[in-house]
Amino acid sequence: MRDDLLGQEIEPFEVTIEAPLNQYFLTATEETQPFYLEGKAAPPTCLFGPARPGYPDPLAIMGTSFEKAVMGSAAYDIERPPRVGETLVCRGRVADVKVKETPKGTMTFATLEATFTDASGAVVVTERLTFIERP
Amino acid sequence: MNAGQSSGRCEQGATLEPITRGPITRSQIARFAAATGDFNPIHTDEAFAQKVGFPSIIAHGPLTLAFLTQALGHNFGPDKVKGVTAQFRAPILPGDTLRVEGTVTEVAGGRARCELRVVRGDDDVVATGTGTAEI
Repeated sequence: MRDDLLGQEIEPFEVTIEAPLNQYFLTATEETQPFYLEGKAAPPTCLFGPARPGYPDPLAIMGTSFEKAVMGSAAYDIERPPRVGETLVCRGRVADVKVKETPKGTMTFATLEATFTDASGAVVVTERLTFIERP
Repeated sequence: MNAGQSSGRCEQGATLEPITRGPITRSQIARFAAATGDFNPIHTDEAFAQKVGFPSIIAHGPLTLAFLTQALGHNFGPDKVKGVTAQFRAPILPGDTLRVEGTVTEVAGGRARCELRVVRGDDDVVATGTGTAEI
């Protein structure tokens, strides 16, 4: 993983909560809550979505690959659930990089923080994904 | 109990009503990949997953995160969930049945904070996390 990642920013891009993809998400996650099943809102964690246009490949940003990296943790701060059909703007940056020496070798932890804002500029969801590059 | 949702009673130490998800299926993992666009081959390619050290394909971390979020929504109401975190401690495999449990650790400022865990079988904790919800 590259060692000059900290602070690197991702070009802002728009994310639209498309109803068909959201439906797929609801099915895959065994969602049972009518609030979501009735389409009043989308589960906030559906914003995890490399399929959405513009979503960058986090592993490519971090200079690593499928072979070496896994997701170690995830965190969402939720101001409100996004609405189905709503378009949000995502701004991302590499918020943290830590290197840890282990008996098996060097492990790198990199956290990608993405903030999703609505048309008024208000923050809807902040996502932090930490990827671990194994030795 | 449905902490906070049913009666407004939500006390430190209260146990959340658990939810159960699974058995996780290969088609479910594939559907989650399609919903999110995360086609990392550790989730979709059996041979690749085994090559990098997993016993089979594994579920996406954010699928587990969705289950944690659902447990909070089940107990507090889906529109009351303000934050969720997850640390992925062990790979989740096809066939796994998961129980999401939690405990209220703090009630302050109109919010409940919880510790969460995802348990496979009787006592195999495959993910831990925290949650925050309005009460």
